[in-house]
Amino acid sequence: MLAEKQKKAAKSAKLSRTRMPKGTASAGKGSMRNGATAAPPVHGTRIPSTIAPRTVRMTVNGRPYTLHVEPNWTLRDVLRQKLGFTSVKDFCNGYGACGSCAVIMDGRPALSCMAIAADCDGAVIETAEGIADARHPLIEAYIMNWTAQCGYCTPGFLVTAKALLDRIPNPTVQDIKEALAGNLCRCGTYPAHIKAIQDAAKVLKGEE
Amino acid sequence: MTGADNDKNKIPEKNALWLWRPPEGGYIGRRGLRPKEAPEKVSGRALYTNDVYLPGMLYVKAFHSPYAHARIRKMDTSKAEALPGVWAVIRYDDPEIDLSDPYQPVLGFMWFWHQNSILPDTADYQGVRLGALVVAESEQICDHALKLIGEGIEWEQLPFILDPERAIQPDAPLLHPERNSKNNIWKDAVILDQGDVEKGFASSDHVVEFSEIKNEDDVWAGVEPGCMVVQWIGDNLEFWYHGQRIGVDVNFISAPVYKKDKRQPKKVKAHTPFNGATFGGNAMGLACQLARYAAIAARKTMRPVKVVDDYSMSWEGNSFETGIARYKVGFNNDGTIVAIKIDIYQKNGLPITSKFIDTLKTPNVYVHSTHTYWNRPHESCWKDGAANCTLVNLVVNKVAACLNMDPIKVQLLNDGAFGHDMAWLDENVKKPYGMPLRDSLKEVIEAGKKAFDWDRKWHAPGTRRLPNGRMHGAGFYAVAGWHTGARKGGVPGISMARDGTATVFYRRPDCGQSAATTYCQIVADEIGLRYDDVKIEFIDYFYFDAVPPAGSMGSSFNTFGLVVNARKMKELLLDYVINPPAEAMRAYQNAIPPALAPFQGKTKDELDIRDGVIFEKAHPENKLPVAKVTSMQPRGLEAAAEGGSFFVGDKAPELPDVKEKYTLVRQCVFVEVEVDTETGQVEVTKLVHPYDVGQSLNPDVHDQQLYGGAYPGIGVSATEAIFYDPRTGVRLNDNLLGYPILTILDVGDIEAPIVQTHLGWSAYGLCGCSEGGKAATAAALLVPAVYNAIGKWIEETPVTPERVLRALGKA
Repeated sequence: MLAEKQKKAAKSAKLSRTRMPKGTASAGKGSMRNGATAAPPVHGTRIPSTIAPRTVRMTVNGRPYTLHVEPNWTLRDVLRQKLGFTSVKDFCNGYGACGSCAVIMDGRPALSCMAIAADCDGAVIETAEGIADARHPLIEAYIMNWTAQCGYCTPGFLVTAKALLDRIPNPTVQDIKEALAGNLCRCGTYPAHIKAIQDAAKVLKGEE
Repeated sequence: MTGADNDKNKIPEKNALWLWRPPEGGYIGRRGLRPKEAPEKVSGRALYTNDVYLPGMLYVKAFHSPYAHARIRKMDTSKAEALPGVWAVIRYDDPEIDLSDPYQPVLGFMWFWHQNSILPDTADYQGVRLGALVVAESEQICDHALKLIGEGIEWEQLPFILDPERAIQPDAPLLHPERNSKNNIWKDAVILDQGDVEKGFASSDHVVEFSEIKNEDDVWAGVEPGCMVVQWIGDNLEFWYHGQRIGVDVNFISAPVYKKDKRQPKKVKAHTPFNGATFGGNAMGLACQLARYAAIAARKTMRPVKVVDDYSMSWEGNSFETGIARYKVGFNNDGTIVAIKIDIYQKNGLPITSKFIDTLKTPNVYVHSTHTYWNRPHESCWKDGAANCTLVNLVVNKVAACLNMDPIKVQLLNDGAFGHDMAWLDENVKKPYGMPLRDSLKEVIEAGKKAFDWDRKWHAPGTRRLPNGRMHGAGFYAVAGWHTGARKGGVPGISMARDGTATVFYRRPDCGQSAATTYCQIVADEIGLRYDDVKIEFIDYFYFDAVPPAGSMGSSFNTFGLVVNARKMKELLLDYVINPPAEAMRAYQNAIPPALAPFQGKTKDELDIRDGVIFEKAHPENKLPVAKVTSMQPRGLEAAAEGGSFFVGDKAPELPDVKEKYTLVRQCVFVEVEVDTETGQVEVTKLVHPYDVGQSLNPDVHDQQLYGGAYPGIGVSATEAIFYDPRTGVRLNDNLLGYPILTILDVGDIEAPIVQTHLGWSAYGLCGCSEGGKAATAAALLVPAVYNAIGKWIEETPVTPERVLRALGKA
């Protein structure tokens, strides 16, 4: 019942994002505010499925997986609950509004809560764990710049930052802000992320 | 004041902890240290309670009311119980299970509407948990079963009220006639009465009246969903806790579940995983309730369970600012505030006026608060101090506006506490207690003016139009810092491993990573170890108590205990070197170990420890690594369990009362805005928040804490508001699409200059900064700046475009 009410509220409330004081784009259906794409929302599907599971193959952090997934499972639930990637978080209760479940899918940042797992057959996915295992300079920069307070949203920021640096190795402050606009942090760590990404960019360029 | 000198005489120098100073050249106050818990968090491998999955685990969800005020007449749960995968449905009228509300004695001020049941039959607001809990094999099955339960309920809908002033009108429906048969007031109290306000008004040059109206709630809005994991193993109970007050909540988790069979677990083991933004009251009453649900469900099914409640820890707790405040202020031509009278109407909450007496010398202050029943979620500890700031902010700025004065001048003129000015506090508090005679307000203002460029930016209201066509505004206000209970200490344990590294044992205090780092800094400096050789272990037992809310006042509360026990550890190490115990001499035929021989005959005062090396001060070449000493302690299980010979875990000593009620540290906030007078949009282009922390433990931590205040603060003042449908009482935007918390795009530069006057009452003269951000979180944060921009005073917050346009006569 609450979920139904929230669904209606979500529809009517989207416009309220336009009341933001400065330049924040609304979180469109299935997209991060940085333009990444994802599948449509799946609310209302959280009831037992009666359809047979499907087999999907995906590569996560370089390792191939073959999975049997229900049609209503989101990529987030599969990554978290079936594969144990705890970096993929749930902050906005699956509205695609917070970026805490972000992963890099086929080279682009994507909201895993908005992607149906069955649609991800053949996807190449990267999570914060994979970025850490690869010792990407962002990890050390994120640590030393105190980007994590409670830390719950941090992996989502990190993933988005990695996708940004993959695309723009030398981002401006505005590039960074626009890329991270879809990631919410209640602890207010935003300024730290800008410094961290700038530091990592310098390391990647060999300046430090 | 009488007897101040006597008080000083009662306090031995060693207990005058505000006069202590950190060892020179150490880690305290240094930037660039590696935060202790960051690697796990950044990589996503930090486990939060929501990440815990146990074999065979069941899920628990509660039914949420669709109505703002309604009673369950009948409830048919048979369809839900018959649903495959449902293990149990726990009903509000279950005759066997004890559903009494155990939080009343502890958190009654926030929890009164639960009618003494954690699963009531009556909803006091839409979304409240009531009626039934479902225990099932998946969240999806829980949702399905709850839907079936909803279809099987026969409701008695009751009249509801969403407005505090409507609640006290004579024709308002009685919401709780069983508690108050005359009206909807549940508490009517004078919460501050100092001097004589009526005489004050009579003697004032001017009297002004105005209001602050905050009808919409601001809420936590996340982050980690409400959750709790509990399992029974035989007669023992184990739980994973998402909250802040585990020391309180454990009593409720482990209370008997059945009314007749009052068995309690023989042992309780708690895990305290990381906490996703578990602020204040979010982590108290609601965590208690979810924990109790989990304990009941786990006991009934004898399976591990996880309670999941996306709603509770995001959308229910409102800040204490929601309500209406009517002000009457008397002041003189020079800006001296003579008398303040405020009538506050709100649902519930803590007294929110302490900052008046902490911050201003105003002799006459009277605050009356009327708490009414209404059908919106409870107010709780979400920026609870911010309401204090709003009151001071509005009074000072309103007086400045009436006199066309710079608000900084008005603030400086009225600085003081408990009706006394700063000169009095110098003579009667700072001097007797040996504190430095520094003026905290002047210092934070100086730091802030410089960073903000106040003298150039502040101007007469409504007079500066920018080249982009917008109106420019600059706002300022100041309040006292936070230091409540500064001298009370938590109980850390400290042990030395055989390799010379130290471990600090503490209960995980809260959600940030600041404590883990700063506690290690303190221990490293006080013992004389390298920072990298000190680690913190958040353990699962209840002995090592970090005083909650440690996230709010962790450093001011817990630094004392850390310093005391670290100093004891240093004593232990030096004692060991000077007077080796038998265990150390056993390997040397009961002779002094050769490594310790150079230190025999020395006193502890002649020795010191630095960078993990014990040395003789007069002859630094006479030295010995700490690891060499600690390696002499016995091996074995017993030693491991107790931390070997080098273990301390003493409770910090009780200290005699001092005059710490006088808050001597100050903070202020400078805000710069641009207002578009065509659209009403307010853009915050700069925020500077100088804070006198007394003594900074870690400037990087300080920055993060102040950022943490600024973003939600500007959000609460500009955009954050929950809206209700007036016809149904249903919340319309309780989700992150509809409730706009700020993003990285939404605020310009933020600076947080650190001021260190050593005027805090805790160890090192610190007061902490974790609550510091609250000054920026006040709902009226933007009001003075917007007034400076457009020359119109906005009485209703948040300062939305619509309200700006209304003030301009355009809407």
